[in-house]
This record gives sequence, C-alpha cells and structure tokens, in this order.
Amino acid sequence: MDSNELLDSDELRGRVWRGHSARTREVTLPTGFAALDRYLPGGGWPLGQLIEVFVERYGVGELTLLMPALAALTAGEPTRSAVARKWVVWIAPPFVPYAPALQQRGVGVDALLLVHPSNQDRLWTLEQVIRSGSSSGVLAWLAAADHVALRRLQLAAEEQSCWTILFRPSSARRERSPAALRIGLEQEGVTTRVRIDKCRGAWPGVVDIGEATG
Amino acid sequence: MPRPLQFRDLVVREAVSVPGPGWATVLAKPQSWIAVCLPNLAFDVFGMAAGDEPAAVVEPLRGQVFVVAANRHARRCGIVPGVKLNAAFALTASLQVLERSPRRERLCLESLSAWAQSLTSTVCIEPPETVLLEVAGSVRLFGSLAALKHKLGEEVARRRWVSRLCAAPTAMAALWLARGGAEDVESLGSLAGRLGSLPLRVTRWPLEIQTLLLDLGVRTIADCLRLPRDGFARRVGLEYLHDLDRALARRFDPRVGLLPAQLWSARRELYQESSDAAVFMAAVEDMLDGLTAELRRRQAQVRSLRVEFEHVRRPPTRESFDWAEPTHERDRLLRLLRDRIERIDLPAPAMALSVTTGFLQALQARAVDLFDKTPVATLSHVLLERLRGRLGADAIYGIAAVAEHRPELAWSRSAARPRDEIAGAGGPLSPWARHRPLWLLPGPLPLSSSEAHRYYRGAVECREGPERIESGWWDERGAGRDYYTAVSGGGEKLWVYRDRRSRDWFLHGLFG
Repeated sequence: MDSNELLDSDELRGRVWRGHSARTREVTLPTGFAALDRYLPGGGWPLGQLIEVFVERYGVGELTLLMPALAALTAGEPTRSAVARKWVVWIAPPFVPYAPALQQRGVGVDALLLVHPSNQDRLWTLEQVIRSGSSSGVLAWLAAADHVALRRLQLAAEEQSCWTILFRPSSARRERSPAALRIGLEQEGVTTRVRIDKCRGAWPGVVDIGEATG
Repeated sequence: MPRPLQFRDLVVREAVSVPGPGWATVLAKPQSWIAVCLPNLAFDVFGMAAGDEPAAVVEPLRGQVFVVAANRHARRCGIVPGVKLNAAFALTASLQVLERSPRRERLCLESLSAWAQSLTSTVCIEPPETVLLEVAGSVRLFGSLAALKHKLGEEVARRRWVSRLCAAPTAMAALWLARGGAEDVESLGSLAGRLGSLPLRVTRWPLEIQTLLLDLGVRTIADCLRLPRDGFARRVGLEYLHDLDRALARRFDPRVGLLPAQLWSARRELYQESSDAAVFMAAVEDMLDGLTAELRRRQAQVRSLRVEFEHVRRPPTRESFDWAEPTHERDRLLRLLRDRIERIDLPAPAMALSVTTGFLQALQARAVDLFDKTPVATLSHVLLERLRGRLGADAIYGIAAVAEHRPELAWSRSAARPRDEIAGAGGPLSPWARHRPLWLLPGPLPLSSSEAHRYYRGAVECREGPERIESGWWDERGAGRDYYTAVSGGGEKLWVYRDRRSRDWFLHGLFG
C-alpha cells in the first residue's frame, strides 16, 4: 500500500496532519475576484478571523473589493435561511454608504446596520456586534487599537465565525497584530493592487485584481 | 272586558320599566360577588388604631362638624360616628381630632384593589369604603369561596384595617350585606329574605330619602320591597327602585372593573447626596425588584423606562431607556440600566432617584426551542437594545433606497429593526445606479475647497459623462447638475458635478 493510499484509508482520514491540507480546513467566503481567490488559502476571505485592510485614503476601491462577498452575505430571500438573515454591521463608516449603488451590486441593503459610536466606544461596539451572534459580517473603521484589544476581537470572531473586516490607517501597518490576513490597497491606473502583508497559510505577495468575476 | 287604558297607567308603566315581582333573574350566568367593607377606613388610614388616647376623625357637614370614625377608646367614652364634635368634646376633653382625608381613603382602596386584582380581573371600588370583587371565575382556582374570603381577610388584617366581608350573587346585595355585617348568601332564592332584614342605612341613600322612608314607617329593605312599585318610584325616586332591583338581580348591574395602572413608578431617596454609580445601582436594583414583582403579578412587560435623578435646586436629570422588544426579565432590564448608569455624568450629585416605566404591555409568551438555540431574531433584539442603551438611538440605523433622481435624496435612513421584522430586499433599482458611487459625501463639497482636497490628489480628469440631473424645481432643493465620473492624479475615482447655474464644480461621492 502506497503511503498516500494509507493516509486516505478510512481509519486514518482526518487524523494525520498533512502539510497541504491545512489551508483547506478553514471556512472561507469567496472574494469574487478570481486572482485573489486563487491566492488566498481556502479560496476566499477567512471567516472567523480578523482581516485588516490598510487604506491611506478613501475611494481607492476598498469597497469594490468587498462587494461580491457582501452581496453573497446579504442577498437572498429573508426567509431562506438563518445565516442569510443576519446583519452585516458597518461601524463608523467615514461617509454614507450609498444605497442605490449597493443595491445595484447585489447587496441587500435591508441587512445592513450602520452604527456610529464615539471613538472610545468603537472597540466595545465592535466586540458586542461580533459576540452577539446576530451578525454574519462586520465592517469597522478603526483607527487606534492595541494588540490586546485586537486579540479580544480575534477570539470573539473565532467564536461566531464572523466575517470581520477592519479598515485601518496605513500607520497601523507596522504594528503587531493577531489578524489572519492583512492587506493594503493601491490604485494602479485602472487596476486595484492588493498588497498582502500577512496571510496565514500563504506567503506575502501582491495580487492585481480587475473586475469581479461574479 | 278590559278597562280602558288611562293616561296615568301609561306614564307609570313607562317610568317603571321593570314589571312586577316574581320575574326570573336577568343574569345570564351566575355571578358571585365578595364585598370587602372597611367600616372604619376613615380612621384606619391614619394608622393609629393601636393608640392609647381617644381619637376621632371628623368631617364638616352643613356647617357642623361630625365624627365619622373613632377608635376603641373614643367609642368607650360614647363617641360613635354621627356625634357632633362639640358633643364629643363634652364626653371626653382629651379627644384627639383628625380631619378626614378622602384622598388617603381613595389611595387605600386603590392599593387594596390593585392587590385584589391577583384574585380576579373584575375589581370595583365602591366609595367611600368598599371594594367589590366578582369571583365566580376564581372560585375553582382557589378551591372555594371561603378560601378566597380567607385570603382577602388576611390581606386586610395585614394592613391593620377593620373589615367586614360578605359574599352574595349580586354586587349590590354583597355591598349591603357587608355594610350590615350579615352572613353570606349563596342562592338567588334566599336573597330577598336575607336582604329584607337589613336596616335602610346600608343603602347609603341620601339622608333626606332615608328620613322620608323612615317617616313612612319604612325601616328595613323588606319594608321597601313591600311597597307598591309604581308608588315607590313616584314618591321616592326611580333610581332607588332600580337599586333594589339590582340587589335582587332583577335588573342588570353592569360594573366596570378597575383598570390597572398603565404605568409603574417608584422613587428612592438616597441617604446622602451622591454621584456614585454603585449607590445609584443599589437604589435602581431595589426598585427593579418591585417592578419585576409587579410585572409578574400583572403578567405584563415593559418596553421603555425613565430614570430621573433629582438634584438640590436644579431640574432633575432624565435618562430614557428603550428596549428593542418588551421584556419582563430583571437581568435584561438591569443590564441595560447598568451599562448607562455606570457611565453617567451628572451635573450635580443626586439626592433621590425615581423610575417610571412606559406603558405596561400584556405578556406574550414565546415558544422556546428544545435545544436552546436562540433564534437570530432574539439575538438581534438584544444587540440592538445594548447598542441603543449605550450609544443612543440615533447612532444606529439602517439604509434604504428611494426612487428619486436627486442623488442625495435617493437614499434614506430607516429605523434599525430586528432581523425578523424585515419585509424583504426591497426598494426600486434605478437604471442609473450603475454609475453611482458606493460612498456618498454627506453633502457636496466645492471641488477646489481644502476639504474636498482631502479626498483626492493631483488633477481631476473627467472620464465619463455628463449625466444631467435636473429635478426638484417644485421644492426648495431643486438641482440642475451635470455629473461626471472622474479620476484624480492619485488614482481615486470621484463622482463630481458641475452646477448648471453657478458653473461651479462639486465633489459628491467616491467610488470606493
């Protein structure tokens, strides 16, 4: 018996850790961008992990990057399933998320909840939202957060397998973080360049994304 | 041959609408009333029953002051209700005189009624001193009429009031029998006989009516019943005949049960002025105990609540709390209150706290999952109220698309609702939405302003457009604009427009 056959046998399946299988264990949400899906382990956004997105300024495609996943989380009949009926909460968005444009991209705007806490309440709000179990995703604009606070959030997100996106200023890029995925965004002409600083289960790198593949 | 009908017959028949004796009862189903008569209430409200000095409660009537109630010592001296105050002082000089307080009496009756609502839903106050309960439906639950009476008697005794309890098939009969200190009457058949022996004063008819009847030699209810009905109606008054009929179940006696209070409130004074959240929480917890007990008794729940902090020489500070769904659970109430009160910033130390609820709502029971998997709807309720409690209701909202050409009016804030109340992905999908940005600025910014410069670098170059939006000439927010999709030197995709009137450029959105 070949060693691979042995490992695939019924007694041992799932009991022996194999290097390349680690990446498929995580629950993911497809990003909707083929290039990015190929790069990320598991083929999409890791659920139940912190994802940090560094943006120097707004309007560089940071929302476009999330649109396919957001649409997947919020679309669908409200009666379809419990997961589809959860909220996606936006915490302290810098501008008004424009409902007609969101709808046009397939997002169910009725599933969005906007919360504007004061600066010192942001982390509290974020943790409440993640822990409540009533949100399938969180988009938070978070300026200051230390490692301990992020670790708390990470644990909360793991518990509820919540899609947790933290928009951070570029200055936070050098700070230590428990996030599973840390990416920066740059606009290069018409393409959006995703610079992956840290990715659990893959090497840092750069991915250029074009139009969403649906 | 029948006697021709005379005018007088007609008038009397009209006036006395109830025919002669011997009719069947008007009650559709048997009723059972308990009257709790508090004959000494006017005195009992002062809580001085155990005093050692003779004391009496007095009330002015037609320019003279009469004793209406007295304690044991005063009665021993011969001071009974009805004695004039001067005469009372003649009997004992050391008499302590209290002025009657109808307000206190009313409050006592109301508090007893509120308690009695745990026995039956129909509780009526019969001023000045009686509470009536319709208990036909409660007898089975409590075992027997005697058990119910025992419970009531215990409660009244706990309040140290003198009481007489009596049960009868009609409210009026129970009331009269209790005032007369008579025994219970179980059946309608024996009602007339048992009521008959009661003196006239139990009716509490006006004094002149009672005097008139006494002058006629009518001393008891039985004497009244013996009089011809038409004559009684004409000479004494129709309403008194109706009273007699009601007592004997010959006439309907609809009574509106006392409605329980719609709000609940409590107040606690602090031992000393304080700004300490722990002190506040202790007082609030204490009050919540009372509230939850009340809610449990009433099978009710609350949706909102207000806490008032009273200061010295300053208007009180008010804090309002709203729950996403009505609740009666102490923990849930307390959690939200604690979140806010622990962070409260008062302008001055508080000397007292009061809690007032919003309208109490009937409890709606909900089925619970066998495996205790909390539904998303409940979780979202809880999240909403926690966020509202700490951040304020304005900080949380949903968004919706609106069918409107002007971009700033094509979306709206909607109240955040828990996830089960959502009607479905709705809203019109405008055909132009393709060219709309994901971020809309709160208001258009002049493109050359320093504020707008924060959002782009370098020169702005129009890529697509123009799209003309000319709308709203009928209101004050009319717009005439040419919109362009533009790219700045730094790579930001902008949504800009040129105002058609002023020819100025504005930044209105970012494509994000």
